[in-house]
Amino acid sequence: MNNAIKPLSIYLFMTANMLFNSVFADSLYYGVSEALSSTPESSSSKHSVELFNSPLSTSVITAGDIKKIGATSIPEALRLVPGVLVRELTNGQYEVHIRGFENAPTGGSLTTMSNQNTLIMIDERVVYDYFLGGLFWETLPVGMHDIERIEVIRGPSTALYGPNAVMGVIHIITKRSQGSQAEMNAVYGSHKTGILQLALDRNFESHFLRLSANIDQRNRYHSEYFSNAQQQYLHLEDIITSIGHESYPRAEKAKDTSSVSLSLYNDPISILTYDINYSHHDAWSQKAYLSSRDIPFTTNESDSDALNIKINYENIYLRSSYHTGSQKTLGLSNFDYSFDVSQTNLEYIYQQPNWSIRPGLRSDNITYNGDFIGGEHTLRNHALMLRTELRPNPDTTLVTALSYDKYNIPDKYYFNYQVSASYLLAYDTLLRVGVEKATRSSFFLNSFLDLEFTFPNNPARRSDFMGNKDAPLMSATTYEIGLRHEFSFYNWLDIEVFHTALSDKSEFIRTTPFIDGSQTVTPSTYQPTPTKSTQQGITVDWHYESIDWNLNTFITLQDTDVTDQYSSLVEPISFFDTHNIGTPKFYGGLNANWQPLDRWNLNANIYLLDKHTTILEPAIGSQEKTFLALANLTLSHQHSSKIDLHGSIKNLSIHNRSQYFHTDKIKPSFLIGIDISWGD
Amino acid sequence: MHRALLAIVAIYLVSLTGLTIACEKLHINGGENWYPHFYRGLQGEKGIIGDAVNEAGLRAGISLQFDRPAPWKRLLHELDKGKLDVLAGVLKTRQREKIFTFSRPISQLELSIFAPSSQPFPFNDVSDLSSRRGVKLLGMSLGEKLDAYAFDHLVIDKVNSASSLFKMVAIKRVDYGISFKDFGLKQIEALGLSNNIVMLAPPLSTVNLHVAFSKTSDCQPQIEALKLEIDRMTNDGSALQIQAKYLSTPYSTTPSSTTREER
Repeated sequence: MNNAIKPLSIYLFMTANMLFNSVFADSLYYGVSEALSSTPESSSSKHSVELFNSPLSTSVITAGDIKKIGATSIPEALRLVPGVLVRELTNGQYEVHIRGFENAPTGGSLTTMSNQNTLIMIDERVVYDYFLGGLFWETLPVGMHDIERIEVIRGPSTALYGPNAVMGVIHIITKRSQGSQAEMNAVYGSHKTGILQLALDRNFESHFLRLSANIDQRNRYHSEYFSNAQQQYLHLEDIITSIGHESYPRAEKAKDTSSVSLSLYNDPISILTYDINYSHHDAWSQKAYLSSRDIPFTTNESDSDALNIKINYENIYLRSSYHTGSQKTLGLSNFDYSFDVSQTNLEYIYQQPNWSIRPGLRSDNITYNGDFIGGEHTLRNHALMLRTELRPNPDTTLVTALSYDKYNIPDKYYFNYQVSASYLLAYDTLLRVGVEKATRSSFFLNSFLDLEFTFPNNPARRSDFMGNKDAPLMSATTYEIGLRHEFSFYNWLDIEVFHTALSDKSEFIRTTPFIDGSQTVTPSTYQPTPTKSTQQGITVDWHYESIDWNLNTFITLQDTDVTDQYSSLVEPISFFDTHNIGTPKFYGGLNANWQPLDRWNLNANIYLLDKHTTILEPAIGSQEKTFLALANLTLSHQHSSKIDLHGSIKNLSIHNRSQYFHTDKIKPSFLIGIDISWGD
Repeated sequence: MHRALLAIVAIYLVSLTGLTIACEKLHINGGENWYPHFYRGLQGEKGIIGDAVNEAGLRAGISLQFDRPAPWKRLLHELDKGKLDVLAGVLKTRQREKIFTFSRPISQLELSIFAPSSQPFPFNDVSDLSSRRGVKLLGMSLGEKLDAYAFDHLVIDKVNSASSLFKMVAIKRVDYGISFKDFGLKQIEALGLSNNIVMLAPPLSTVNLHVAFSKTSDCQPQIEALKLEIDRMTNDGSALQIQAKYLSTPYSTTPSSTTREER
């Protein structure tokens, strides 16, 4: 026995010695404060600041957090972020909203219920979809092990990053290794979940290259679909669908995606820095987006190529990207499209001892080509931007970000702003206030739609849809007050109180049906509505760290009101007010890590979502959601400096029910994985 | 009834014994490889602050046990929770003053200016930096007075890592970098930039190093006695004698009136 323990203890001691010898003597002395709230982030200010000093409501998820919870997708990791609602549709497919508003007003379609108000960026490249606005998570060419960190801004941020950052920004920052190494990560689990990622980093003197490839295949939790007409889950063959059974060729499959990414960059501290990334993705997925009205799911196929170039020369920053690809929805070929998106940002940074100014130009050129818009059309947005930061005294920071946006659809100018002030009440307590306004861009469907859709299973029925190029752009204005307090370096609290108002909403409104030859035609036109949504709430986020365990718990309590809610989108429209219907009144979570032994980590996280009712247009129906509590457990073991092993049990809940309308009943999953690295 | 009473008394006595045993030795630790302030030398030396604490322990008749090396953050947690009694070599901050007590300053760190070898500039005091662009680590304080001066007069970029800081200096992206002397020289050597960067004299400033004590330890009487003895050593010149073993020019350990602020 002793013979076995001795080499083991020597091995452990040597490993510990190696680790400890590399630690800094005094974290503060070397400038890296030991405080939990000192995590750096760069999205809120466009330069690195400590989370404690962030002028906006900001959260950061690090690669370490992602690893500890065994997250296999970005939305899963976003369940660690306060103020973010995450619902799983089927295995690995999610809907994500910042501060809700997902079904307010009620009565829309699954397409409009999906998140149109959050901007998602990969290394500052916007990956938003402009069909009808939205986040197509399955199309992101990023594996979980490519992610350095995810920064989330809650609140309107168009002045910083452009249109559609209405409720916030999710910024995915990918890894940029500076050595030569290779990495392989594999996950296998229930519901035929299989994920494989390979990455290779090489350096050529001061130039670096990273090649990464990712495959993600998963089955659904069950192969039945919910029939809106029959109000129950049935096998596909027992459901009559207007778009045909051939639209669901792989009923059991949730997603099948692959991507490859190649980055070439030099040391980011060089006088002239460059960072060039090329990525390609292919995705096949089932998701609740462009609904057939019979079944919540549709099948989507997509592929795209993207090039993102960032150049920094002294105080000048240039970013330009080009993204081209196609999206297909099986059974709804009218809505297939190809797209080309080019974006350019040019900014200049001028810095003085206690103030800085950052003027810039932004240009977006987005072209979509599809039957639904009768060919090729373009949305353009050019903007003048200005960000200033002023510190009149060491305890006060005033930040102003402005953008003056010129759109071609509608042919109008919009002014967006983000004004914030923060004041150190004491060295460990920061008070901040802010007011922010952001606009959403036009989308192709609501601007250019000119479609006569004859129902395949009933040629006598036709729906005509007409877009509107002059509809005003929806906007949001938020007022925020925040307080951050450090009880100690390992114990801090972040509180934000917010009020948001959404206005200038437009919807497709059905007018009186008419007869056109042998067809009964129901026409719909995109028109402004007087509907306004407001929300007031509070988010509390508490972090505590001990020697071998840490805890983060957060909760958002909010009230959502809709005034002049339409009773249906059929003329003549009558209006009424609603209170807390589509968005839950509270949601939050708890994330805890415990290291019972060296090299072992046990993570437990719980996600909570209050009851709420999803009400869609009458042809689709509604659903009452009871309170949801979901738990995940992940045990990981660092076998050696090059090999990590982990296993997870996910989706433990009393109710295995659907989380997003009548999509899949979410069931527990069991996953095991291995991470192997070679080199530096 | 008698048995229960006896059991309670026994438990009480055992716990008292336990306390006594727990305080027979004070547990001490410090950051690793922090020459000359705290390190574990081959001849048993512990650096300026480690030796000073050892000497104070001998004078006060308190046994000290130097614990095994541990990560810095763990040491701070252990000191806060009373699992560690003494931490040798700590900067005093307002955040730390909330949870620890501190000795008088026992050693000092020099804050220095590092410039590109091909572009050094005359440097006598902080005003020589005012027309130039510098870099320091994110979250690093230069001390109360210098921070106030920098706020009004200096343009200083902030970076997340020491390697970025010295590389920026080496390629002349900035005119100077601010770092503590020993750490800076060690980093420059490790990065292979010794021919590209020079340290300018004199130092920009010095910052005091202290011994920190747990407020929650069960051994408060012993801690108080040790603290008193360390403070005596800073008055009677013993601390300077220990410094002289390690440095050709000892620091003057005048009591610090400044408290570094993290932010």
